[in-house]
Amino acid sequence: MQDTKEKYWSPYVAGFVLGLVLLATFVVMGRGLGASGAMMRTVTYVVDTVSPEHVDNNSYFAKYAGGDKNPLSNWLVFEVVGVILGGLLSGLMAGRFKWKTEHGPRITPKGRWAYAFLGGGIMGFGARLALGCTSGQALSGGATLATGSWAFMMVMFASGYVVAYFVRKQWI
Amino acid sequence: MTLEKIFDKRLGFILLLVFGAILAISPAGNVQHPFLSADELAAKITSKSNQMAAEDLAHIIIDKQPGVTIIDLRNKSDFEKYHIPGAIHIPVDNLFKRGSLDNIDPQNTIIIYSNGDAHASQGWILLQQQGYDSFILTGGMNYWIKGILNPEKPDDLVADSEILRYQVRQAASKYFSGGGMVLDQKDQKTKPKIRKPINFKKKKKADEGC
Amino acid sequence: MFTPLYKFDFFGVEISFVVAVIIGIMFGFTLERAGFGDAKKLAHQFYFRDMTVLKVMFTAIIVAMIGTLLLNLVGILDMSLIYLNPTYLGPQIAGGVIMGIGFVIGGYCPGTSLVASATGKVDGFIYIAGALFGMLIFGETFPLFQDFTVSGFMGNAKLTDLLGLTPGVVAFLIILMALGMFWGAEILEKKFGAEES
Repeated sequence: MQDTKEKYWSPYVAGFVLGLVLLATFVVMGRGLGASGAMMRTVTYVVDTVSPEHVDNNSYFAKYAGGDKNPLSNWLVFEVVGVILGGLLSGLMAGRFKWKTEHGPRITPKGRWAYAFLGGGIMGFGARLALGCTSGQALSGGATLATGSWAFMMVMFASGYVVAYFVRKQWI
Repeated sequence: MTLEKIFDKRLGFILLLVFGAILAISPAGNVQHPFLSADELAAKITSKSNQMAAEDLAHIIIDKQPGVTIIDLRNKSDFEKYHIPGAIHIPVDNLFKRGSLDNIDPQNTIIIYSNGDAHASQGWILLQQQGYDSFILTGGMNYWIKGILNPEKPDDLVADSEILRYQVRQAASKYFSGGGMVLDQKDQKTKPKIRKPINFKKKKKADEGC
Repeated sequence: MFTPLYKFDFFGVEISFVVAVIIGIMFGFTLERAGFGDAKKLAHQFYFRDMTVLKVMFTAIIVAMIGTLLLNLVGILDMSLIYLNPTYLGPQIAGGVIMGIGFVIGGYCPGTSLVASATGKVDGFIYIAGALFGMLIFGETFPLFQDFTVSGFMGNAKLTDLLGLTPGVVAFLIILMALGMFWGAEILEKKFGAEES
């Protein structure tokens, strides 16, 4: 592994490239990018393996895996596999792959883990309620001018800024 | 900050403004696919991709899926006698009339039915010509009454998928006729379940956001 | 008009999965290059120290938006065939509030947590575990608030309908807004920007 880390791209360059990837997705597939949908399908897959009856009796799970449907046979699931590969590739190429925990100066790694789990849980719940996450709603919905996606995006950032003050010890 | 960087940002800034101005005065985004040609219409009818099975429609109604418009094309007396819950009444002849479709959102999933398939097919073409994509209820009201309201048990030696369909129909029947179906014991054990259908949004293939 | 290619049956479901992996790789690669595998970088957005998230997101949105509109203008792309997120104002606003909270506490959003994990961030893995757990809870409790999840339904509503403007004009306004935000972001970073840690 290299010692010197490559610098991140300029935000505008990264945004431009990300925009082109999103545009390519629209032109080739006629749909946007996503992430949380694939996570939901993973959850459903596990639940379906443990108890298929439970899945069939819950209208939300049944949407993904009712009957013989395989929840993992879906475009987003494959896309997310690619996201992981792409992230790994970029990290390795830039010498940024390293086992570590990101945390602010005033919190221990263990404390950060607890926050990460809590935040992930809240986010997971919210993402399903909002029918998508930052990639599916804000990015893809934003570029297609979907009203609900813009409302979602504004509210999410506003809410983040309000709550930021209360958890500042974690980050700064 | 080097001179080059400033130049780059300025260039990006100017480019964005130019693109924005071009778009603002152009019809971009509203350029539509031309109407389907006769061949494409024929292909759609032959391939039956414009049809919706009665079981699927039953799902949509039971799940109270939003964004769905059901249009009854039959005559007034038929409509008053019985119609599929939530259906609105537009006799097929009225489809020609200007303004008859004003209250219908073309973005909705539109399902049309008549007694059989013939009038519905006419209605489908009329709707296509006016820019509305729709589905024909397979078998029309005739099948709805036979298959959904009074489903008959299939023979013992039919495929599993047929039995599953029967169970769906039976469950739907209970929903639409308010129960009262006599089930034999075997059926009670298998407990018919209503499963959510995949997406019915227009011609889009099964899709979702994030 | 012959795109989106998939909707015009240029290829089937199997190929679309291959396409998915390729697009995913490009997506993940770009997210990592933008620095989105680092929770601190993402969270500092909310303290005005590092406005990368805003810059990247809005640049991407306007690039993709301009691209789709231009391709439509020249008759290549049929925009009506692009999946449009339907609007359910109730759950989307409530979900937005909840996700804003989760974003600041957890430090990632679902997509970036995948990239973080792929580059070895332990908190990324734990975040994913948390997100999966949160989704399980959502699925299990779904029947309790099923009605709410379809509240405020507005169909495939677009900003163009809401504002009564053509897509081109709306795009122009969004570009102006984004440029204003970039300008503001640069000023904020100068003022609050943290020294490299």
